Amino acid sequence: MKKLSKFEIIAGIVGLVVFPIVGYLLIYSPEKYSPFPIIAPSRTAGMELKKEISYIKARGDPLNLKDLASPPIPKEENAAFLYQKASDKVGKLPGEIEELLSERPSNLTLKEKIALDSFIKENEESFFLIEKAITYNRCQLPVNYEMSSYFKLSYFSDPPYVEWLRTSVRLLALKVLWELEKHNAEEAVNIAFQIKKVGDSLSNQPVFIVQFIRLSIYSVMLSSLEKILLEGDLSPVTLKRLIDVLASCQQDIKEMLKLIILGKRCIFIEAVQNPRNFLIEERGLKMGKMSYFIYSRFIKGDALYGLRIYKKMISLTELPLYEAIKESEKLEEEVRNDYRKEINKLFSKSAKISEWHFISHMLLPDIFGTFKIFAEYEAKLQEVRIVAALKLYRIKYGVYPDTLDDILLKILSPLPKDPFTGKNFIYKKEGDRFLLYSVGANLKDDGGEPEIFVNGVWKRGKDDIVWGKWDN
Amino acid sequence: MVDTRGFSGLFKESLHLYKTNFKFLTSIIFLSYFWGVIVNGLWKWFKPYLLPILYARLAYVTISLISWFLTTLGIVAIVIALNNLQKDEKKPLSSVYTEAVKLFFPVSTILIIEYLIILGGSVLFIVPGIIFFIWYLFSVYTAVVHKKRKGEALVLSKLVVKVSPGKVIGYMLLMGIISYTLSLLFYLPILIGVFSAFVPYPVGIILYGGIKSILTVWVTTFTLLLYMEIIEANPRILESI
Repeated sequence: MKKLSKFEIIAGIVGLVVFPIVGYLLIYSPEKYSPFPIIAPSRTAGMELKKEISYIKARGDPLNLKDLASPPIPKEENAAFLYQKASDKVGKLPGEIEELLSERPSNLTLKEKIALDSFIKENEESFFLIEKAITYNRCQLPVNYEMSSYFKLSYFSDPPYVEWLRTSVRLLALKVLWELEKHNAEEAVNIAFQIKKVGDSLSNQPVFIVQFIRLSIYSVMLSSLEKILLEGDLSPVTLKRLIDVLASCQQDIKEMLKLIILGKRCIFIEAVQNPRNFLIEERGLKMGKMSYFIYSRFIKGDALYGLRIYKKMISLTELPLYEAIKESEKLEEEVRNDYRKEINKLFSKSAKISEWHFISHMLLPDIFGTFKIFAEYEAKLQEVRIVAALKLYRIKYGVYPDTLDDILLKILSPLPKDPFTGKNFIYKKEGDRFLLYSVGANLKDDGGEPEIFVNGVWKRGKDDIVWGKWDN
Repeated sequence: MVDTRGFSGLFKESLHLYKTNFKFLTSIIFLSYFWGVIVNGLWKWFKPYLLPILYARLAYVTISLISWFLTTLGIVAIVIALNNLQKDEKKPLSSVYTEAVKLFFPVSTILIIEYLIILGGSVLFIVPGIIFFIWYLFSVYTAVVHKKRKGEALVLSKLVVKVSPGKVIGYMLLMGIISYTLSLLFYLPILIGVFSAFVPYPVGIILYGGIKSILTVWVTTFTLLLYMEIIEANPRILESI
């Protein structure tokens, strides 16, 4: 009887040894050895995500939108509803009145003066309501913390309460103009400070959209003060007061920045927790069952990636703005590169896909510009302070100083720095006039040329943040 | 001395045998082999998405085993049925499958040993693997027709091939090319071009399974006839085992 040859038996034994190895490689490490495109998300992401979440909880930071809600204020103490009443009474501002606010300071025509005067007198009741609201010191806006409505409101249209505040603040800005027309600059400053108080009353609202509203309210105050300083004559006491009050505004910037990034992180966490709802309801994107099934396995990695970036951004709020801007630009570039890599992998058939930060790449780009927005605001704020100090210097010594360092010891200490560079603002004196500006986001001295808005488009290139050109 | 029919003779006879028993043979193959192909095809469809999940690997092993069981059972049943037809006995489907189930484990053992030897041979510089593959072409037929088990079945297959290796290789290669071309002719419109856009993947899999099943019966018939012819021409091979 014939049997298998020795060679066949050896081959069989070799096969017996090789078979489990091949099987193991193909079944347990498909991402390395399989010829198919394999989707293999990180296996440790889940554990790391738990750690990250517990870290956020331990710090007492908000995790979702409902955590953001501040304790309710009784209606009698809440200024929001008075602003609503004032806004409802005024309705939509007439076109000619609205134009007064959009223009740079210039002398009003007689017709405009009459229109402004009659408008202020017609709406005395609203002004009374606003003044009363300001005394409350606390304003809680009726923000809906349901994910979908919150998202729609903050991204697609303004919530109604934005209109209440916008109208109220515009009314105050108009009153500043009105007082200026009456050569009552001191009173105009008081009204500008009332605008600041409207912004201050929102400080206990840890929702990022409210903080953006607060920022724009402060911006209105700054442009009002700019008009006052350009057109009115202020006493040394008022100028000193102006410098001191605005110094406190500077401290609010870090607080606002942090609240905004924390709020956006909450949105991110909610989106990651319910990606399908987020995509369909908030972005109008429909995710098929199969795509969702595939994507759901990346979600932990995606959440982890996003949370790490948000964590870095929050730590940047502790830095001076010019450093934070640099660091956030680096982060932005990093995220962009990751996005490019992931897209390339998704479209190449042979790639082994192990990371896909789908929601991170949709939501993260929103936060990188935040530091620049705040730096612009701070530049304007510091310019107002420096100009007040310059005016004070002129009252004392009869002329504007030759350099900014001259006001350092005598009036303003420490001297405010350009938030984009960390160095002094650029100051040029020519006779009894001066030019003051920050270099802006491009970090280049464009000779005091600001960004121009032509036919609905911002013309990029020159972006200095300039105080009223050649003030005298 | 038995008259050798040549390739065309075997080809025509296998075609004739299949034609005359088309319904019977097709029903046998569609009972198990077809489903094995379908299961395997569906698995391939989901494979890239499912593999990273741990349970999916378990499912992969399970489905692969199920697919293997169904296809092997189908092949064994077809060989039994064809063997019976050769002897002019037409047994009903149930008895064919009862016999196939009985033979499944011996055949599986043979196939596993065969696979391990071929794998080992392939690892040892590829060529031995190819040689072993050709030697063991008839292993299933020796198990079904001559009730050989384990190593014996492989040895018999080897001896049968060794009688006229050129003929076996040539005939099987030719048959392989013909069946592959035929399957492509049917399957190509689904595989490429404009049509593929209109045929959903599951439909394509079913069509592929159907075509593959029918062609498998034909190739099996041809191989069995070839095997029988060599055995009849050299009856001493059986005595030597």
